[in-house]
Amino acid sequence: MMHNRAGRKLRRTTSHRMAMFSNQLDSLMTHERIQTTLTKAKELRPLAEKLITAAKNDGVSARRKVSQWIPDRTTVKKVFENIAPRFVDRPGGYTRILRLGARKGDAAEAAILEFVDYRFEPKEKGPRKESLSDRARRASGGRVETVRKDKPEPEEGGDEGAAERKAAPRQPKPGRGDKAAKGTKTAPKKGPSRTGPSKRGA
Amino acid sequence: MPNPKRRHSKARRDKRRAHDALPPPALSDCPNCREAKQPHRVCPHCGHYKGRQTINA
Repeated sequence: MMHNRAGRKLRRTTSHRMAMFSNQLDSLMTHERIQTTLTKAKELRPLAEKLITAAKNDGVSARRKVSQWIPDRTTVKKVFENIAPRFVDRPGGYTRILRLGARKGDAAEAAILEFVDYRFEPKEKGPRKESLSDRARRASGGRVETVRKDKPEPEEGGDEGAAERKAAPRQPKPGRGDKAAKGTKTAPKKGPSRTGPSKRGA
Repeated sequence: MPNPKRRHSKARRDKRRAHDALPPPALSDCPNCREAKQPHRVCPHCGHYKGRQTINA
């Protein structure tokens, strides 16, 4: 049974966890939809719903309660003047969690936490944005070598990392190679020493 | 302290792991694009879930 699983610590100290929830609540209220892990979404949902329920009755007390969680004053204002009024007739259940499946990298179950009245508008695919490497190529007159052509575009916000990797492609590789080489060299050495005594016995 | 006398062979190690395989994920058909997708999850191919588009695929 999956009962009594709430109140997960998420491997954080209390203050770290509270700070994270505070940030996420701010993001949720400003953007109306956030992507996170399923576990975090499940922990965050009751917090978010309680804030909205509190914000239905505007007043100094309610404002202070919401401000405890949401650090940004303009966001607090939005919760009271925009979000809470939308849900006056709804007795709870203001948010929904969409499961997205395991994400690349750490295979954590990704999820979207959004308001139930969130209207998704599909993005029109415009012309491709010039990436940092494109700009470098154009600036240098096409003499920047492409490190990996077949590598898919990294996740959002990963562009800087990709540029860094492309800027210094050689340096980390010899280091890694050395380590690997050492590893393979030392392994056979261990082998004979272990089997040594048995050979002597025979 | 008791210690192992013999190194375990690869065959012995691999036989132990014979039952460690993970089951394949359960898959169902996306009602929108007919691609295989995991049940109760947004379709990664077309971004639809419960009859509406929810993410950019």
